Amino acid sequence: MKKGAGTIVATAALVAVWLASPAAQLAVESQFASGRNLATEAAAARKEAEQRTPIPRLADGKPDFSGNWRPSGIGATYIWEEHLGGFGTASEGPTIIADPPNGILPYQPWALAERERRRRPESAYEENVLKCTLPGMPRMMVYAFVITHLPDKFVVFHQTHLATRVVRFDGRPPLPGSIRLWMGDPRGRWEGDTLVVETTNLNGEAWGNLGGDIISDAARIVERFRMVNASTMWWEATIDDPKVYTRPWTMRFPAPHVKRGLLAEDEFDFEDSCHEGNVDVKHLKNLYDAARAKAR
Amino acid sequence: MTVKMAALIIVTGLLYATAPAGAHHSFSAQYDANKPVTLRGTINRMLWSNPHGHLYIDVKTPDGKLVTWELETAAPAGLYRRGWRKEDLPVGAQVVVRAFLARDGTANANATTVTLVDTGKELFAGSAGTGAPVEPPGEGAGAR
Repeated sequence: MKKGAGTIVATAALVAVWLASPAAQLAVESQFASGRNLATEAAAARKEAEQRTPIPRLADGKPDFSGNWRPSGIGATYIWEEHLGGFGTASEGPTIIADPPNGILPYQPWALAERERRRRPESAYEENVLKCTLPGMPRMMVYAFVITHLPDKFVVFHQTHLATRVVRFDGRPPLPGSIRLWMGDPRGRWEGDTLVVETTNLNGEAWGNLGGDIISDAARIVERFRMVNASTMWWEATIDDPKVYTRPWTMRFPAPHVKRGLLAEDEFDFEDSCHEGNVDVKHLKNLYDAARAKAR
Repeated sequence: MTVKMAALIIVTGLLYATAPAGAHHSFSAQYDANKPVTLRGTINRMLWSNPHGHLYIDVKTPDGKLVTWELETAAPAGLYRRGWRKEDLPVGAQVVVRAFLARDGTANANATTVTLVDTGKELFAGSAGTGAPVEPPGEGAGAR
């Protein structure tokens, strides 16, 4: 790395984090009054950083994604569409649905009704992560993760709920349809410098998020990992799920993922042992049982 | 046990601009953002566990009985990053806790801040929406 590059990387990382902050949302609103276009300025800053901090590469010339990555902070754990605070959300948030352009998930009517049912308090007991299962895909990708990148495989260690995905490039045949998994069967391929990961064989039992969005066992999830420079990466996923949606759709974070180690608080990692104190289940079961008793 | 039993609860009527963060489960399914409370009691124990920590405090009812409240916090990683340490929470210490009541009517609430009466030290317990910074998903704090 050239002298001074570290400073630029750190600056780019801070810009990316800031762009996803509530302060940035206010700034976006105020930029029009001042005649500035912060999106253009951020793009220029990213381009400059990219030129000065080249993407690290493996011996075969492919980008090396190895590192400790985290998404920029938004409430995607809860809801993917634009939302107000109130349904388990930290605050209001922008949509991360990049396509359709209106940011609204293209639900079939039955599925939209099912999502509304899931959003009742008494339905929360049905949600899978409450019971410390693997969150499923693409839900898992809203959490921080570590990538170890080898020539024949790409391993994603998810830091929350401790799942590991091994994405193979070796061309082995896909799993038979009879095998169904929480995290599905991921296969990797390259499109230029973009790593494309296609996942099928999901079990359809995982909620998409705490807001009850739906991913069925018919879903085909195509993720795209694309590094911008040594410390930032864009991630997006296109979901084709004909049982649930009227058309494929794409989710993308409003800012790139940032490689950790650049920020002061990244001092060490904590383990995440979900089962050890999960005392919330009983309270949600109380609501679930009360609703069932009332329905009888 | 019902919420009514714990008459020392002061319903503060504070309406925050946004609902607090859910976490490993939906906040709004388990708790009611329209029912903020302030509880005063003594620390019974602190459970430093995932996916959430839990602070248990004994609160006296008007007739002198003790009710143990179960107060959900962020995960230990989130608490640690916000400055919480084991020695901050000695058993028997008096605390004032701002929280949101559970919907199921038990002595359960989602803690926002914990203030130690002796020292005045205030600890942010994990629920966002109070003006405190929201940590990114996966950081074991407000979002998981």
